Amino acid sequence: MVIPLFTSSYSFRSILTFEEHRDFKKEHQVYEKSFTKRKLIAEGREEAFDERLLGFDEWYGNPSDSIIQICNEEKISPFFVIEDNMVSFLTMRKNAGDLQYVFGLRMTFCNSLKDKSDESKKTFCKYILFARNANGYKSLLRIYSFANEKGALGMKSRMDFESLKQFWSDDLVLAVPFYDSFVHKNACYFMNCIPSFDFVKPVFFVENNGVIIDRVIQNGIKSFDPDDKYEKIEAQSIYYKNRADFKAWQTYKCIQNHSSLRKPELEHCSSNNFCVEAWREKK
Amino acid sequence: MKQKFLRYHKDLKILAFDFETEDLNLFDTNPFQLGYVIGTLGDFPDLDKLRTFDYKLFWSDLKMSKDAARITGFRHKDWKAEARDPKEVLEEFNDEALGVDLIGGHNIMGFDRDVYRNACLRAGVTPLSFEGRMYDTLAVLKGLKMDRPYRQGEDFIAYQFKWIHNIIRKRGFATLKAAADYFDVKTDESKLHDALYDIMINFNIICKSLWKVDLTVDFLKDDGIIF
Repeated sequence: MVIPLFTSSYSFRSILTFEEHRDFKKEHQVYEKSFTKRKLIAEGREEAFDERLLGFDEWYGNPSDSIIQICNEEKISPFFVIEDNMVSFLTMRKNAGDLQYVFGLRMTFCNSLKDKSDESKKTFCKYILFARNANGYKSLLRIYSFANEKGALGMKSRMDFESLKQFWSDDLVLAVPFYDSFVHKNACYFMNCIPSFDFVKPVFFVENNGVIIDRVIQNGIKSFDPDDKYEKIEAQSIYYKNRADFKAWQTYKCIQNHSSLRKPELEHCSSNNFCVEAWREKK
Repeated sequence: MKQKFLRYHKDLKILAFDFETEDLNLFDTNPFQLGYVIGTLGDFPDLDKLRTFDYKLFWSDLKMSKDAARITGFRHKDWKAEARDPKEVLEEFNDEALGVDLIGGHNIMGFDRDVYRNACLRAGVTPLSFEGRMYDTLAVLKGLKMDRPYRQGEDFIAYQFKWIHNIIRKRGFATLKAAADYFDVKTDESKLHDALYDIMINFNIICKSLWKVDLTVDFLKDDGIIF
């Protein structure tokens, strides 16, 4: 089984939102009716209003795809959300309705918070902290505040394992993402990210998206854990709904990167598999 | 003992390839030209012994930017006259690539491999996954110039990625010409930038660089090329 890992636009890495399910066509019709009626009343020709004249077959606008809507369509419950901040949590909770969810906070870890030199950037990598329950959520808030206050290096929030230890409880789960993890950074860059799993048993997400570095990271995970000590979970990062939406997502990334579609300058940005459509084929 | 190094295997079959593309978007750029050469290590340095392939690929939605046309020497008339169905060309490339030990090129890990994969998918061809057999002269050159050569036992693919991701902002530091100069491969200045000649030079750079990269036969034990 492959687990879909959603990320919303709140993390600036995805074009998916947490909008609740909305019928835009119906909303538009209601709006158009009331607008036309008010106009006719103002002109004193209320009797001229005929509901049948208000045919509206075109799709109104082009609303963004919503994680909530996708999970309702695909019957994914609980759904996993991985965000770079805590901002989206309340919107997600409010709009999730009957859907169950698991919230994960993706954070930058370094070898030591005490090191504030430029060299410390060579130890940056990502980990995900999942909340098992309400207490876990409260812990995430504390950790997030700590990383932005005590761990901050310029505008960057950081965390290290020594600090994580003081917040750690069974209400949290540590996961190693497939991309930007210590395995990825150590294997594909001249970086030196040192994990410290003495108080925690992490799970590793393993993905296969047709990106050229996938195989190197998979091999890296195998050589880090040759005895299969840690749990590996097949996963699929999702940033847009369909393969056809890749161009929209890439445009969004190019805007962030101050580059163009003809020269995106986005490392290995060559696969349109980070979507629900690709996940559906794998599950 | 020394037989374990790839450089002593004269029958080592090498394919060097290069795509010329309309722009630099790895996902949907249309490669309008594919050139590749196939030869064995024993063929070095005789360029005449190499089997050469140079194809123009037809894409109905090709949109060449002025800059790309200038850099790649693209001529619309020539391209239209010579262009072939990408499916045929890529299938032929796959057939040839299946029988080689090393697949090399300049910056193939940062560019050409992704272009190849997406071009295959668009043309309806199953792309080969040759990540385990790649030899990128850009990465190797950077490593040697920065005094951090490949060490025996290290994962060679990961080593190359490290250098591909390591950006060195020095003009002309890791170009094909710089590689030819570094490895002392003789080039004819007037022919440089001709797509096929570049690949032939690249083939010679691969052969020569194997003397500075301690790559062993273990590298070939990897599953290499898979669909």
